[in-house]
Amino acid sequence: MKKGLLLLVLVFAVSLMGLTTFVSAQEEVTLSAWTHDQLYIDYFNSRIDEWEAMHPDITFTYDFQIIPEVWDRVLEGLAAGEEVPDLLGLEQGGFPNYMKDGVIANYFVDLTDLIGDRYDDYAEGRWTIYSYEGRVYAIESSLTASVYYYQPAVFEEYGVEVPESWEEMLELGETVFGPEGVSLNVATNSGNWFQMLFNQRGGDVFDESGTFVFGDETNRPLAIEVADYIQRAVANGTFFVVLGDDHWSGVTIPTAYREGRLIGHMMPDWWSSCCLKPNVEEMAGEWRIAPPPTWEGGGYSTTVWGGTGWAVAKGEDQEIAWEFLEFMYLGAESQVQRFELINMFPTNFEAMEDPRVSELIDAFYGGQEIGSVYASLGRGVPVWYQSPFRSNWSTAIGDNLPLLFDGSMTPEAFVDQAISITQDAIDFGF
Amino acid sequence: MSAKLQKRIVTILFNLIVGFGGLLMATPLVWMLSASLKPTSEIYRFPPTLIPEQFTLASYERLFSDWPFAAWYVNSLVVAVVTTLAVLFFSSLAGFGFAKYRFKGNRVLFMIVLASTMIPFQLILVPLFIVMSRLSWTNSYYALIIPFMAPAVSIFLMRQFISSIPSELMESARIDGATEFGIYWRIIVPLARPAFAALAILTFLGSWNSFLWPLSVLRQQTAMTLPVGMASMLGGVTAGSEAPIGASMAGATLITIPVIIVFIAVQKHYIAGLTAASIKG
Amino acid sequence: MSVSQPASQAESVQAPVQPSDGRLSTGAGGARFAPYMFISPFFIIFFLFFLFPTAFALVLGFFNWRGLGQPEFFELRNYERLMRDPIFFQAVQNTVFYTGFSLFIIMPLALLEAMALNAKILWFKTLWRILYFAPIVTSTVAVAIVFRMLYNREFGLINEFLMSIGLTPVDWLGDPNAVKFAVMGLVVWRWTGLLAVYFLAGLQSIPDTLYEAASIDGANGIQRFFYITIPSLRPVILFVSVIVMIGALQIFDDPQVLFGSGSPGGPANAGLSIVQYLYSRGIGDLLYGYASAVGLLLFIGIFVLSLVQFRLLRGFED
Repeated sequence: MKKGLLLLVLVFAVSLMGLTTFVSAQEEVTLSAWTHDQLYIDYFNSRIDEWEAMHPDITFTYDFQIIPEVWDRVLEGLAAGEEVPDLLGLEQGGFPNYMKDGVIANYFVDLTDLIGDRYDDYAEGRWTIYSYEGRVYAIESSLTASVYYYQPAVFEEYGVEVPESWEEMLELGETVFGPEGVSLNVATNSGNWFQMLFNQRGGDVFDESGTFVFGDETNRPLAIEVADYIQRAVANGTFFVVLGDDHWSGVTIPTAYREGRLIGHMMPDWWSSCCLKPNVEEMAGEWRIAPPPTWEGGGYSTTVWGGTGWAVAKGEDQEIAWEFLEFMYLGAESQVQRFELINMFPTNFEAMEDPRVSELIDAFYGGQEIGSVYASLGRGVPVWYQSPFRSNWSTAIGDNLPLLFDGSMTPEAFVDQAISITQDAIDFGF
Repeated sequence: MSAKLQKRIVTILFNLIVGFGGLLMATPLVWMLSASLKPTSEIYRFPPTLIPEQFTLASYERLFSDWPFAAWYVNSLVVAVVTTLAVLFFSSLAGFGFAKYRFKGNRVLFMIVLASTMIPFQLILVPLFIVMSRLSWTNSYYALIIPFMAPAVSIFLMRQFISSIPSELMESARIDGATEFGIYWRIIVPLARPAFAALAILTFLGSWNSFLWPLSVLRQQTAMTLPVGMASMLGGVTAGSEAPIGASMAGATLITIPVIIVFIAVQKHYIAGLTAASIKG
Repeated sequence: MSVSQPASQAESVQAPVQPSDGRLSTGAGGARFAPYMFISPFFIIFFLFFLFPTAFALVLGFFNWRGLGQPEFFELRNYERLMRDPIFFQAVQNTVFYTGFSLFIIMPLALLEAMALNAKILWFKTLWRILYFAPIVTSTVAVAIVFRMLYNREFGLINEFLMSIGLTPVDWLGDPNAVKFAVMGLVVWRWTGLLAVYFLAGLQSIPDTLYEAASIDGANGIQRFFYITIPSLRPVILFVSVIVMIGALQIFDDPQVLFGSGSPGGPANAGLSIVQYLYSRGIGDLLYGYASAVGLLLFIGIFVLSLVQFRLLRGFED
């Protein structure tokens, strides 16, 4: 009895001592991160306890900041010799800028070897957009696979099926919906939007080595084909034109949805949480998703637009920062949790098959298992490559799309002008 | 008789036209105020309701909860007030120096002041931005205030005004043993009050409404001034954002209405100041 | 603060028009350095934040530099690139349109407005002046956000109004042919009042006796306008036209916010101004050298006009 008590006291004392030594040996680390979107921070915060439990010997403080146009801000910071944060969540469109002047290799940790064999467990197209000269510098947040969001009731009302190909859609627009003033999809003046369709058709703007191939004999005809399709689809009302910021923050699209003038919309997975659901909450149950229409001439089953890659900045905390990112972003379990919290669809194949993802039922989509639609498309994500000059190309395309829409520019002229503007930029180096 | 009647009709018609134009001018602001107090669904109803049917402050609540609007307001106020005080001080001091002293180089130096107004800000936008980022002044008040503390136009204005103050007052103060700064502080400053008032209004408004430069140097959301912050509310590019129509109308109202109230109060002085600045500067 | 001078005294010294001849001599000790001290803040700021950057800009125009690494000497290639860039020409074209519209539409409108507000037969003068002049003090950003809503293709007040009177709605911010007018609509609202203020001051300085004499001579309203108002306002008109030209060449806020950050130049860049182009290249893409070249060209344009303004002002002073 006494012995037991003594033992208890002893254990207690030892553990107390252990605790004090433990406390004094605490290492202190401040993890800082910048990104443009609060959702990522929300996700990190939700798993902070779990993360800290894995590192009992480290006391963490976190400095997570939301910075609009973070990609520019970081470049300025680097130029000014300022410290940049350990982790950077950069929208993929800002990435080409980092490929200039050797920024990416000088300031970011090369993740290729850290990722290792796991590369093959994820959709390849989501690595290539953060690759430069064959090395990977960031991890993608979302598959961004495109689906066709549609209102089944209207299709039923007209007694037609959801189109499976773009030609079918154009046909439906011409014969059934166009005359009624009803559109089946949206066209907007963004280079990314055009690229989404063009990539799906199998076109490439830049190849693996970063060479500009948009104008070569394979890709130019594909680009003209897509541009010509767009022009025809806008002309007969199949595509509903919404320009500029109106596409994002306007009321035009939500109202057109509501009034049944716009009954479908091909957009990536994030469209659901950013723009569809919040703007037409009262339409819950009236929407479904389907795989997007495909091109009869070939290409991929789906396509992509957007994404945010997380990179690790070189610095004294780079190892722990990588561990943090690895913990948050890699592995099926992490990706499932991320999907459950902030709806970013996994890029990991195993996570796509996970019942929590594939069998997810969403009341907004009338109880449809939307995860299974995405999962079916997960391996059909096009692979495409970045280049320092992609933004030049993208801007040239976006600038001229309104002229393609209103018919004042032919598809050939549209494509050729983008080629010459991009080529000029390449020749001059910016 | 009929000539008088005709004149009467002309007068009434004329007043109607001017009145109609006036209402047209007021429409955007009235619409803004009214929209800020409506639920989103009511904002886009046609014909629009002038007095909200469903009065709500939800847009204002959203504005303050979803965006650091209070911080933007504070930033704008601090920058505008400090800039104004600094401009008043430095411009009147320089204006005094140019107006009331004979010294070597007066003419040439004053010509430099005048000539400097020819440098359009856009020419130095990029290099000044580089300077600011090298000084790590981006996202700080320094970048917004320090380069603009002594604008040439204000110096010109103050010089013109101070020239009209009789020098005898200064001579006698000097005989009484006042220092040069003492003369400035105790004689010039009190007498230049009307010019200060006009310059203060112009400077404050210029700073309050300024956009291009703050947009260039402010990237952190909490460091933004009102115009930059408001513009950023519209901009969710790829991530997308919900339609913040009501909230942006609430923000626009909070930027605009106080300034307009002040304008109504000091309308005469403001317009006098504007014309003075234009004709002289 | 010892600013307790009676206001009446301050006002009374405002009036005298004594030429600035009564300057203090700088013979005595402290007074010799005082003026230099007084004017030095301007020069310090001017040299650090205006003159140095100006010189920097001139040099940068010959380099290719994005802030990282060594600037690359680029000879005239920035300018060559500029001459090959269709977007730059689009911006120049748009800016010329803005300038022309401001000069030939907005300025006459402002003169009309000033005359209306100055008319003897106008009732409630103060009320109308407040309404017409209030836009001057508003924030362009705030107002542009409001106008975005008014211009909305589907639900904007303007299109609703057009449709209610049987006209076809216009895609104000989406149709490349319409967007310039949308920008100008905002500019009309925001700037006409300011120009009218100048004209009003000019009109008020025309002695009534001139008009009375003309009336006695049998001149009608239109004749009085062309033979008295316009000639008397000549200096003001010249001054305002220079202000308008320089202002229009520097237009930025209005289109930038109206079109939003997604495509700040409007569809097909149909509304892009030179300063917007400069901003997007310099601050957006961090092409420091290239944007400096754009800035220099803009400077030359504005410099020529500033010289004109300077001449004019010198004329006023004499």
